[in-house]
Amino acid sequence: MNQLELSIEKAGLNEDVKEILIAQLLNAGFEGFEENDIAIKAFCPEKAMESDIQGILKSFPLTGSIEYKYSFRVMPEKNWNEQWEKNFSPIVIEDKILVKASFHELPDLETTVIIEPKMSFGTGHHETTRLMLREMLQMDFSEKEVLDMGCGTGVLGIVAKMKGASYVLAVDIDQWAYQNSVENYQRNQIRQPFDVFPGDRSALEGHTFHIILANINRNVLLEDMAVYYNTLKDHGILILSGILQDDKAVVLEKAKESGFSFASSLNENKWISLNLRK
Amino acid sequence: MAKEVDGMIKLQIRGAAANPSPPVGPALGSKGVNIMEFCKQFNAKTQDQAGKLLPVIITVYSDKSFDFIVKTPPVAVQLMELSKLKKGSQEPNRVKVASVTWDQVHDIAQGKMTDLNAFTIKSAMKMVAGTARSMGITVSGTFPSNI
Repeated sequence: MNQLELSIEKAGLNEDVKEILIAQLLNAGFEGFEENDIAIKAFCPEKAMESDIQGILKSFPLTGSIEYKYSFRVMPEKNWNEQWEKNFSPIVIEDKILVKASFHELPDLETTVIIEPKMSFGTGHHETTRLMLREMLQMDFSEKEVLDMGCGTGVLGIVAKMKGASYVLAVDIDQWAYQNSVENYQRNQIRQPFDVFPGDRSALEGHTFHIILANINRNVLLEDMAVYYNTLKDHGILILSGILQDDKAVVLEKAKESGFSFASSLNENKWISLNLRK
Repeated sequence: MAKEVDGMIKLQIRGAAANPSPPVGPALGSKGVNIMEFCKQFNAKTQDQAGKLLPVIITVYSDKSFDFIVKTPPVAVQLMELSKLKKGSQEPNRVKVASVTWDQVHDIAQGKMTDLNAFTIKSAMKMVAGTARSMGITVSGTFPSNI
């Protein structure tokens, strides 16, 4: 989605004025701000900006004593993470899973996944993905139907298919992640049947799974817990990640309330994963 | 040995809602930082303040790693939320558009003590009241004497 950037020169604006200006622009529909040595920049999706920005600036307090110098530009959608992605390091999980880019020349391991992330989450560089992959190493995926919820790059579903899953449904609400998953499934020559859907839990209607993999965040996991329970087949397995150590109790409580029983947990630094059973 | 600092980035974004779009994407991406890593960390750290506008100061090091500090929501944003104001007064000295109480000013000041460089709650309250006045918001009542 293209973004609109409004850049306002800082010269002559004191802290109070800058703060009030940001509050006004927030109310007008701008969603994020950056302050550098020269300017305050405000951003919002191009389509979302219906307000009359010049009108807002004109009616802004203290306009009598302050002259604003500002400019607008449209920033076309692009892969902002390109620089990091050009040169990221490969990830190895317990000498069995290798997650690498196409430019890495490395011998394959038992499971080797090629990922070009294009601004999607799931390269194995973050603890939460590594915890999921470690959980998956201990599991049997043969002939299992698997859901990869919040799939990001699609790495978890791809590994599940490589380990024998009979079907994978990968779902992500982010359009870049959806598109990127489709590309990575193709890049790794994953055979049908599998589906990649853009969307949220409503995309699960009519499906049931033996295994659900959900590496998201505490708030979404708490909201979706009951849906995971209803979407799992009897004796199914739910693996959760994206949870801070401090939130273990609250997530476990919700899981138990929804009908799950606790099987095990892994941790790395301040992050944990939960292995739950229906 | 301390890591070499490559730059500091000052952003204000909503809690638990960082994504690679601007401002996060261009600000961090141009420095070679893994944007997705920042988003995951920021969103986890701010999951109890979902939707609140939060100032964040990110230090980027020469090895492309980063640290960040999240501050409390800006005073002006809190005042506007509190008084349900859509915009400030065009003439704050003459035209008053809303009012808040000293108790409310006290609550905002307490939360902002560390960010405002204020040594006492009294001076923090005066700073908050000053911002309110600049927006055309009256602080009703008299300054509490028991502070």
